[in-house]
Amino acid sequence: MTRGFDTERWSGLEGLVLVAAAAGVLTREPAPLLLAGLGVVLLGYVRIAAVPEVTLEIERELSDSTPDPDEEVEVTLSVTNESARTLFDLRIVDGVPPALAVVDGPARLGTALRPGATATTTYTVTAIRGEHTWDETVVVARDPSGAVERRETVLTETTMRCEPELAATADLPLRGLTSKYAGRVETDVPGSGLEFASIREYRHGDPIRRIDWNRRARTGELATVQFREERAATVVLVVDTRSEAHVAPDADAETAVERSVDAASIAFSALLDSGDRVGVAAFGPNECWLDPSSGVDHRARARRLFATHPAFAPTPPDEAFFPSIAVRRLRRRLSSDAQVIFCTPLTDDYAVSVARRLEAYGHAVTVVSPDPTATGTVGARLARLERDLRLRDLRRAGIRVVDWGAEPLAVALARAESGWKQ
Amino acid sequence: MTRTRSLALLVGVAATTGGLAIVAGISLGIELTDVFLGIVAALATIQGLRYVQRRRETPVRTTTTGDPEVRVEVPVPGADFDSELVAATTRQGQWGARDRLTDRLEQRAVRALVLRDGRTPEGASALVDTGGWTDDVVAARFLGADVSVPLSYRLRLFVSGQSRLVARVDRTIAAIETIGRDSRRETAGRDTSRTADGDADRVGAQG
Amino acid sequence: MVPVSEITRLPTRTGTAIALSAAGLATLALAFTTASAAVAGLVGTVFLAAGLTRGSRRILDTAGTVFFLALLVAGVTGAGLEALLIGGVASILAWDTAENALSVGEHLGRETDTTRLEIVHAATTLLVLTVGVAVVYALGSVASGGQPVAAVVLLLVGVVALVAAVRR
Repeated sequence: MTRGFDTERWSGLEGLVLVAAAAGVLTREPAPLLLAGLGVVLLGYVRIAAVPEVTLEIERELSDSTPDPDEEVEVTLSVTNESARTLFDLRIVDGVPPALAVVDGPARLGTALRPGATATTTYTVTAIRGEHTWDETVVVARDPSGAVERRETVLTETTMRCEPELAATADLPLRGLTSKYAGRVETDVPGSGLEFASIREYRHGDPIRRIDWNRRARTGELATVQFREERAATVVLVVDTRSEAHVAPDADAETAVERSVDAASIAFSALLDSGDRVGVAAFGPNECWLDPSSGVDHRARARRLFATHPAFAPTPPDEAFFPSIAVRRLRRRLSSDAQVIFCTPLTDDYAVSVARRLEAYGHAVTVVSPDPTATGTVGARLARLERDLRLRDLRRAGIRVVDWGAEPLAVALARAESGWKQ
Repeated sequence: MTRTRSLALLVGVAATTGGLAIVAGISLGIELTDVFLGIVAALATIQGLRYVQRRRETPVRTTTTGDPEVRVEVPVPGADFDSELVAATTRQGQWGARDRLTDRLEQRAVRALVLRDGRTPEGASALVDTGGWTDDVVAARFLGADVSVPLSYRLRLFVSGQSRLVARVDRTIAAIETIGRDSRRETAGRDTSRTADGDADRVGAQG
Repeated sequence: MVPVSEITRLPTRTGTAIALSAAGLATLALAFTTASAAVAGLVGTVFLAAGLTRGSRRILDTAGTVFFLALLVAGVTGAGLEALLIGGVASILAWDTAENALSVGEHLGRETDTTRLEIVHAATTLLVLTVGVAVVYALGSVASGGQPVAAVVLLLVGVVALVAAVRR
């Protein structure tokens, strides 16, 4: 509980009272003295000013606590005066989660409340991926004269969880991302892949769908078609979540981290669909690691991870970060055959060095880079130029780069892929 | 403090009661001169004006409310350079900030010559030193080349009232942006391996 | 929908309306005293409007001072006690609601509905001033007719001391 403090709103009034009284004495007129008397009454009113203890019950209701991304969620805030005294002057500012933007109506309320009375206000927020917890509600209470003010905070637990489906974007040309390297490895071992390898005599237990029915029709023999066996690749999606990556071309745009997480979740789903083992890691102060695996459960785990892990929060981290330790830890965790898809806006040279080091340790690295640069100022133009140089640096080092501008990721991937094929 | 306050309260109550008594017609046998009245009024005025003056000096104290409605703000890439540029144009810390600006731009120019124009690092550094990397004499001179800037440009800058430093940084960045672009046009026909860098150009071209 | 940007931290419309009405009333009341006081009241209203438009406390204080001087001028010329007191009440109300509108605007912005808050504030201030003016007027009518100087001085000393005691 905080004590009230003087606002100094009425200070100086006593001076006016004295001047008026002096004028009355000098001129021997009653009117100025009466004005001074009115001022004294007012001073007495200000003097007795006090704000009673603020005991408020604050409730918050969401129209949907697990919305889809971009869905508009209506928030209803009800404030009830639980004390026995009237609160004449209440100004309430709700603690909207930092990552959410209010699209309709301020999250504020100003009212006077009798004991037991309730006031409500509603506002609308747009849901974005993540787990969003409301902060404390700030309450500013004043006495009726405004001479004393006190500030209180009331915490009401409210959480909104927005977990996008991991979209199965079938048209994502991701095969190119992994097939060039050892991943999605096409072995010479005949087995159950896609590419035709040979035909051998039918053995008991061979799957029916691999029987060569043409030959059976022609010759009456049973034979089994063998395909070249494909081994699943292991891919780890590394998302740059350092504070350097929390940048955006303008205030309303998605931040580079949000777009990186988007890219990672799209890639995750596509890679999983094509049979690869996929893992997730965050490169930032908040540690996050999901072992490469596959299957339905793994998809659910990843979905939750992308949505709610604090490392992927759209707000910049406060913690200190030691990048070289993080790189070493990441390296230890990567199996020797693991490929890396590094999602980073490339806003500094360190991101380049991370990609190059991982490549040097034998991991096939692909950098997917959302472009957060703008052109509004001299510095923004320089930043765009520097990012372009970093992209070239990476390409020169043999690392494949997907430069993702405003277009859909699939388009950026297709364009990048056509470049790699040459 | 409380003692003076209670004393003042006592005097106030006594004087007011006396005054009211006289108003009501009870004689207390007090006679006052004009001079005395004038002194009392003057004292009251001075004290009153002091109170008023004190208000002018005390700022109003109140809670400041934040802006939870807006999303947390993240910087635009390059904002650090912009603030450095502002620091370099103000008097304090001018030289340090200015050196950092030119160092950073020089490094980028060298890197651009290496990565976009296919030069060796040594060759690129030498080129920046001589100013041969660009047609823009202002940019060349800004990165330390010994070339003279035409009087007409200086005059125009003087008339336009633009900060000289900002104008020069602007031109230097523009000059670095064009590195490798002209030579590419010439070699585009025979050097197909370079088209792999095609989408990197998109970035530069937007700028 | 486009995200709401920051709130407009300017004096609220409700408070502005109440304050300007009160200032108008004060000027009208001053018009029944002397011409110079009426002019000063008009100037005060203009300052008040400027302070509310710009959201400046300093200009609002200037407006309050101008109103005070207008009342003082009217008072020392000894014209129309009733009109003067009404002018006094109205101008204090004008300054008070204007400053409150500015403060509410700083906290909640123009976008929030604060009608109830501000009407309650204006009503309490008006109530206190009405009671005050009734007390003062009663005292004044008792004392009217041959002001004994000693009474006046004692009252002044009493006021000075009480103010010192009551100051926050």
